[in-house]
Amino acid sequence: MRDLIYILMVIIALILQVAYFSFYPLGGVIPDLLLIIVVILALFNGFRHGAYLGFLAGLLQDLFSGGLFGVNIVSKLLLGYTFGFLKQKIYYRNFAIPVALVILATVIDQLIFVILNNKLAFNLAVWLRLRELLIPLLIYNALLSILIYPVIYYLQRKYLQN
Amino acid sequence: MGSFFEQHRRFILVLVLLILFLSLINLVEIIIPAGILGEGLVADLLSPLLRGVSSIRSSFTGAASVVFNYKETREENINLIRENKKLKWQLQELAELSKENQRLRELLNFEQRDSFQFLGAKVIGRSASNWSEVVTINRGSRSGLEPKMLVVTYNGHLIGKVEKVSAYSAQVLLITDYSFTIGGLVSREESREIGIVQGTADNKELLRMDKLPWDADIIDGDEIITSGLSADYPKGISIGEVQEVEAEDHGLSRSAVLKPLVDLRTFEEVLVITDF
Repeated sequence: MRDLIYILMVIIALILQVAYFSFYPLGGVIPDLLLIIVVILALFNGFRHGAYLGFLAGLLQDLFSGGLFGVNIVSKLLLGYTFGFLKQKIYYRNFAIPVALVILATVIDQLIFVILNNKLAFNLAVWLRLRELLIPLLIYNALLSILIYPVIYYLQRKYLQN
Repeated sequence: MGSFFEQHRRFILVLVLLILFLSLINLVEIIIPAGILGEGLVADLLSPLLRGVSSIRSSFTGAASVVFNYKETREENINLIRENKKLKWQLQELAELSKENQRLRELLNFEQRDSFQFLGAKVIGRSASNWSEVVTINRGSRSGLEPKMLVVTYNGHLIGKVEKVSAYSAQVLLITDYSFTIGGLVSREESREIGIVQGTADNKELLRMDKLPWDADIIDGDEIITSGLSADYPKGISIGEVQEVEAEDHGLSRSAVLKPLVDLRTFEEVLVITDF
């Protein structure tokens, strides 16, 4: 039952990402809702859930974006797994910590995306583009995670705690 | 370090196998027909949701823009009525010309130039990643769509090509995506140079036309159209305008920077060329 709710959250994140947020880029950049959801859920539920949900989120994201298939699967799986080890190790009441972790995860995610893509990794212009894309992306993701984290925190404490 | 690998042995194993598997998929994608892994099923399951969210979004923004720009909307309406009258008159004139054209063609025994068949579609989703330029449209194989069909705007400018098709939705790869490639041709009568038009990874607004001969007759402001040299794509659809021409491969060839004729971030409806 709990797992079903998490899967539903990932799907809702994808729908909002594809049908809403990507129509309104901020500074030419769209946020990565799926990454935010995966990181936050991993923080609450540990590495195993993090890995499963990361895999699902990456798969969906890859199906709804072009280019090389599977890069997002690898990066989100990796991030969900690693950030899951912080379960019970952070102070959940302090909302600044998850936001900072989302920012860190965004940087890692973008780096993995470019490095794993042989069409991009050896192109200097791509790295310059990454540099100018990163700042607005970090701001956008951070803002959204400030909104999303309390919601998940509340749901988690109220209904989903084991 | 040894204990690190010991501790995460299973995960590392899974990750390595996954990367191998995914690179294999990307390699054999050319051989295996698309859709065999059930990706169309996921797209079909999610597309009603996409449609719902998308229609709420577009009706909201539409209503909001009318309310907030009431005066401009009214003015625009008046202008459009005026323009419509003018266009109707021009259409009549063109009908005459077309009849004349028909007559002369018959006279010369000239090969008939067929017009394309179009299918209208609405954009229901955009790319889920910052590095790719893809849109999802609300028509799929049930409406007769197939991969490689070209997608244009209402005024006939190229937007992209159909990439993946599921029963009720399809994904269109935009010309600005870095993996987009198509044959291009300089439309100016004296030039007719050919090259390869590609999207760039580092700029979402510009395209690049590569592999032009070193002495190619191409100048700023030239219009580039599809070349139609392969059997897959129709000829003569406008792609963009040359902004800059530069030397490539140490002067052995030239490349041009193109600007698409449409704003690729704002369109909501598209036409798919289903037959040419």
